[in-house]
Amino acid sequence: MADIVFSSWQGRIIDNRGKSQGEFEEVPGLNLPRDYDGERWIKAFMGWDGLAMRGADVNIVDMCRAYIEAVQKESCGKCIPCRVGTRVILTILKRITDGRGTRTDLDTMESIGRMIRDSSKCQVGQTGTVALSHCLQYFKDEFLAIIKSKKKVSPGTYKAKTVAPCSNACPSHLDVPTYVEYVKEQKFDESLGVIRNMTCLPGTLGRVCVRPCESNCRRANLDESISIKYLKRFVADWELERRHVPPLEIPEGKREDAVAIVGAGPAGLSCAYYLAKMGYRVTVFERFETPGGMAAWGIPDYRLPRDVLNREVEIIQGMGVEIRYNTEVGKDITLKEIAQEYKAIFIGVGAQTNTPMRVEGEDAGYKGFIPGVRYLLEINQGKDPYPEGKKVVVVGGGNVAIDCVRSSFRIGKSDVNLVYRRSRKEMPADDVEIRDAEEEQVKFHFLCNPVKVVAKDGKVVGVECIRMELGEPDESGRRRPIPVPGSEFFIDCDIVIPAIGQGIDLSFLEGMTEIETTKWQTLVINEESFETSAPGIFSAGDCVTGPDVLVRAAGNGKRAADKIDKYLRGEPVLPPDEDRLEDLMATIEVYEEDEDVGMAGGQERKHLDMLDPEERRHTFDEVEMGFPIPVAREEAERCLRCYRIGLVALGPKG
Amino acid sequence: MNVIIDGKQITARDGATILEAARENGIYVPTLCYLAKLSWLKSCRMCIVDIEGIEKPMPACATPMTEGMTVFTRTERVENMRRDALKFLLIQHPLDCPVCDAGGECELQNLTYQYGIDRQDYSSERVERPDVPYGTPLIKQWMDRCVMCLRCIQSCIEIPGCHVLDVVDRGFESHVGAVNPDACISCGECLNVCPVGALTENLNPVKGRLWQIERVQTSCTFCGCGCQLDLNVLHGKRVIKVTSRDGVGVNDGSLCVKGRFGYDYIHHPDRLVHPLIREGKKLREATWEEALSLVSKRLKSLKEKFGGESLAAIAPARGTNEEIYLLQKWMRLVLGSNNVDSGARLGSAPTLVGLSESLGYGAMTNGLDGVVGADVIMVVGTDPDEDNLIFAHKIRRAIQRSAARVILVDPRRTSVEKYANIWLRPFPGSDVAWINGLIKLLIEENLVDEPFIKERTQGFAELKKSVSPYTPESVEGLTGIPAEELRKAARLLGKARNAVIAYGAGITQHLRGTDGVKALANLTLVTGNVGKERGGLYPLCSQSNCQGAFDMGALPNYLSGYQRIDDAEVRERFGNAWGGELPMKPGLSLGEMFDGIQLGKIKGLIVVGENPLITLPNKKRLEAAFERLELLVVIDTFLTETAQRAHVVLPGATFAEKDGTFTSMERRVQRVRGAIPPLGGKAEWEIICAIASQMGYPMEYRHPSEVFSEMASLTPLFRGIDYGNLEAGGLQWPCPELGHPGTQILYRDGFSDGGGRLFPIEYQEPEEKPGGDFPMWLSVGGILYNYEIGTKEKRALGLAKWYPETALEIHPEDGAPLGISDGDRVRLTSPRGHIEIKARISDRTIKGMVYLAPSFYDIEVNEILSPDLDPLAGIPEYKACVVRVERI
Repeated sequence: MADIVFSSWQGRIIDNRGKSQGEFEEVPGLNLPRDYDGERWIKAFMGWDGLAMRGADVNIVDMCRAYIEAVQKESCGKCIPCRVGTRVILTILKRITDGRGTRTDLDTMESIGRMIRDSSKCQVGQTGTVALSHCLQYFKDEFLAIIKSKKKVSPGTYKAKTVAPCSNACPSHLDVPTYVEYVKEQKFDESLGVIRNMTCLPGTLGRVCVRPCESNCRRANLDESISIKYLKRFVADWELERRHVPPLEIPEGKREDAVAIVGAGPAGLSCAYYLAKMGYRVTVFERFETPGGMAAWGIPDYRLPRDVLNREVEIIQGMGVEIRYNTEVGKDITLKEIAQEYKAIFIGVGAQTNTPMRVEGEDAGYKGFIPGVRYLLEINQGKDPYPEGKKVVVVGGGNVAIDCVRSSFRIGKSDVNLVYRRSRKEMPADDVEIRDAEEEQVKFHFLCNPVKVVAKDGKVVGVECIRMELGEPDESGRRRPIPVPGSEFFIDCDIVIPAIGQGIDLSFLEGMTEIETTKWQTLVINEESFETSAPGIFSAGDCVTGPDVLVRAAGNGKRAADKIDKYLRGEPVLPPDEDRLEDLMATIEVYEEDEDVGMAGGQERKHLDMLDPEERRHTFDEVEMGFPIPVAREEAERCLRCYRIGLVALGPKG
Repeated sequence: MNVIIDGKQITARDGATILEAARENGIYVPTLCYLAKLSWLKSCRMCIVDIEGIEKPMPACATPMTEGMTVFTRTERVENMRRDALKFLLIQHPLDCPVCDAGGECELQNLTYQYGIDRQDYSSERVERPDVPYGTPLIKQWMDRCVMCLRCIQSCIEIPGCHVLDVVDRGFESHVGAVNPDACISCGECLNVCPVGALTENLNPVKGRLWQIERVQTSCTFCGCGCQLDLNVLHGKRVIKVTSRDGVGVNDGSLCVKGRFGYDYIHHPDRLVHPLIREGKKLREATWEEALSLVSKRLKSLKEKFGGESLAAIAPARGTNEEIYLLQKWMRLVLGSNNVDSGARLGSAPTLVGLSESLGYGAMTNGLDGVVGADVIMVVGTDPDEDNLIFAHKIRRAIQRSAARVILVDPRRTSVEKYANIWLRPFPGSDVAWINGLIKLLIEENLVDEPFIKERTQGFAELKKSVSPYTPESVEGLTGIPAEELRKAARLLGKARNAVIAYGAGITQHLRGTDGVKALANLTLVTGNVGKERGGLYPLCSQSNCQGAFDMGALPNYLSGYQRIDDAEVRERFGNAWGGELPMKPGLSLGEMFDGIQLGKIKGLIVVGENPLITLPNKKRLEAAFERLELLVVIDTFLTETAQRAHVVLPGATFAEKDGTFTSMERRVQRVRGAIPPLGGKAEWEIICAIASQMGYPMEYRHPSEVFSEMASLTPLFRGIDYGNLEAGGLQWPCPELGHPGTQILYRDGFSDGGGRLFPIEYQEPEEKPGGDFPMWLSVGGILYNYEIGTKEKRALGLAKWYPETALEIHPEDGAPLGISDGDRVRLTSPRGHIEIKARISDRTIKGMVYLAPSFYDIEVNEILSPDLDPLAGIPEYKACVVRVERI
């Protein structure tokens, strides 16, 4: 950034005061947008790591006052230094900005500030006086000027936001530190309540989430990240196993408008739940006889037992959501018909088809050639898609491919292979899943790719592959695989399962030309409003993003619900300050990979007990056992509670 | 692990935190929030220490030591931080130490003194905190005194499992608030753990300064847990408060509402302090001399006229071992009668009979702490949160610490339900059926402990045969428990490494109570959960000395320590020691005594500390019996319903007024210590001695310890116990010789005569079954606030004002067709009579069963209960009777 007058961000002091704009030294590692909401500029930023200011038109003393006020407001009251200390500082700052400060106030603030940073329980206090301390050091003259003048300072305009690295990284923005803390404090139902504020699928996400939170966990800088996913699962299981019924928060004022949702997958269910919570009448149209969409029939039972998902759907139905099963939109009812009956529609159909491999023989209709998504669907319906077949080759490196190989043993296939064109390191599937598959004795064939599906009498008998080597990185940053000429080889098999990607079946849109789509067969939406090009029709999930993770579909389903509410109330569909600030903090980056935490660590992350590989590979029983209570509480105890407070000073453009 | 703290080389145990390692090695680190029995709070930041190589100071309480760690507890920076933290706390703290209950034992006061804080550098605008009600009126909250250590909040969650309190608001405004007051059970755990005076007792108008108070440690007089508490005595005369100490006794500082707040009956104005003698319809005050001489003369003449067997005595299940022992000695030796029994029969006789036969001793196999470490806990027919709170705490601890899973068996949704992994709801009286069903499943699925069965039990083949008809499906028909649920329970129980099976009155208080107990013993034996450290069979008692009443020989057929009265050698040994002859023929049990009275065989009855007119079923029958007595002598602390019919009433002493011992339900003999002199002038043991002496058998004991020593010398189970070696915290019997550490785990080295006996038990349907005019079950149980007969509690303001009346619980689906809504008055009719009561609509009970807590002033449920007795144990069927409910 080259328009910053002063920065102490991450401890690097860049002081451009007194220089002309052209001579400004750049601030490395700080990405502070200039624009806040199209109307106002961000004049200065104060945060957990220091401050940065653009212009001299911000009163730094008043900004400190506002920042400490935000810290005091966020302080949870559960440790003395932060609870009382920041209040003492705030009292002093208010006195100064009121024109009644004294010189000794500055020393007092510095000394208490240090005490709060060093002895507070969590990051609210540990980071809460960092910026103040920088200001006392580098802007002392401003403080002294106000003290000397004995004049009141008129307050500026600020926006404050509390974030945590984990929750900022979560596409659903779950309030991780709070729900983890509740596990530690043994408030399991309350913990689940916090999770449900942001997602209605705690038991599902607690099992299958790809957990961006854990790769943004500050504890990893000390020893290992917290098992956030398993803790989420733990509280969901606690409720389920103990027959607890969550409080159904149905609002007092019912809303008359009816909303239709297409698809009972993660996006649709989330949208439905939060709309119902706001009091809307919600109807979900689902083509299958059971709910869950890809979460149900794309994920095998050994990873996500059906009763867990069903219970979560029961709770959604308990909120008054009606699900019409066996009702395929486009076939049993058209989108047009729905549009006539409902004030708003949400489309969350997901990505339900396979993308082609573009190899010889895949369109020939051979017996034993089964697309991955269909293979999983049939297995999840309790069927063996092709009982004659025993030797399986799955092509692909993602989670669907792994689910296909692991499920194959479980329906009695004897020889299970996975063919992937890059090496293990590049596999997009969750590392834990790959390890589990290895333990279950799946044969991995890395750096090779099919070129031809070979059949005899219309039945698959094998697949011809070619070896690959890795070349230059492609646009995804992974090295591009290049075939090695003449390295063809043959794998003997009777089932070939392509699982290289999912596509979206948009045939249900028939006749709705006003809905714009892309060349990748996804729906086009306005990113701020989630609205498609057709008014009143909204969409989110894989059918918008292309195949993506469950937690994003669920998170966007919830966000779409907020927009639909605004739309139905006739309000402008603008992002709320909360979302704007959350994104702003993400831009600034809440998690710093290289940070030295400076604490005593050495406490290992807890792992789940698992069924023995030999035992589990033949059954659909859940592989992972879930945390016992004492282990869950110990794991939660490791959380550093990295809440940080960011505050921006806003000013008019110009 | 080798570590260095403040330059001192220390070997710390693995897993120890810095604080633990420091304390274990005599290094003081200041704390305010830390409490060993709670999880880490980390709120006070007083214990932060510096660690070499670590930039930030770390809390010693929550930082595990690692090999080679070098810790400094007194660096300038951490000492300054501590001083600042204390100053912060004092910003709003009122300087009302002179009038604060905690003055002199306040941890903030101590630290302020220790850090020499004599000046305040910091200030903030004052925050006016809301004056809102606390969770219980028995405790007063002083928000400005609070240091926000969070102990109260966390202890409420972890110990009673209530979660009444939480932090309300944020920042400096934050404070502790009762966010969920309905969940409060007034146990006072928060009061106990508060390090300052932010929570104080709000019951007794009389307060005392610390130096005016003597604290006398004694055993609680309420349930059978055997909690240790301190009676706070002002000027040696008045009990003004009960406190407790962490680390002391089985309760580790915890108490229930009864133990902590139920003491004020001691000084109630209704206390009997003078003997009373009947004159016509009235009782008049008399002197001790007159009353004692009258009792002695009348007894003597009855004995001469009708023989010793015309006399009977009922001993208290809450009396001391010494007075119970003396009572039965006096009956047998002086009056020549074995008609002696106790109130303990009403709760626990089936345990005594059943477990003696199955295992050897009629008592709990292990200690209460043995529960922590079990991986499965089965709770049958008892609500420990109501009846034995400290036992419920142990269950919660097992869930938290050893990941225990819980199987609840109870038709009613008790408080255990919220933790239970499996909840079975059998019909009343159907216990034998589901137990047999479980055993059958365990055998079928190979989940029994075969080596144990082979080596240590007898009768397995017969048992196996007898349970074979109890398929899950047939059990479902008999008990209403879904077959699949029974299977789940069998698997959970069968796969447990250590299982605890705990049961209470829901099993025993039945016509076939002894069968139920034996069936549970079968279940415990086939799963091999006897004789090991964790796991076992846990009968729960709701009376403080239920175990002692049996142990001391207040039984028609046993002398102390279960020595048979019909054994000539035993009679001779006791006769020689006592100086007289003992009757040979076993006497009458409690229920049989009243048959005896009605038949004219019993002419004189002595009742000590019991109120049979209220506790026994079928009141009309009892009243008729009392009419026929020629002499009724009652020794009690209040003029009970029974005492009102007496010819002579002698004032008794409460547990606070006498020395002695109680034996808790874990077989632990513990001291009862007199804190004040008997208000009526004499303790029960002195009364018995006086009457015996006047009848020509001088009993001259100077102190109850001499009574105990005599008993111990005659009783192998207790031979190794005397008052001296009880000082260290009580001893569990058997304790066969001096120096023996007592027996925490029974049958560890096997059973006494070759093996645990497995008895085939056939399920028999209850005598009464709902139908016709009486379409519903009635079940009665205890509730926390009013305990059993109410002699004490209805005069304990602390309890009564908080839970003034009972109600009939009725399932919504039963209430609706009868037009009964919450709060309506209803008539409850059984084949024996009727009572009127308020209804409470609740799904805690099952459809078809109404539930009632019996122990209230004006609801005398015994009007309607069945008088039938268990043929083996003589216990009435309290838990199942048929009724009709009508709206009035």
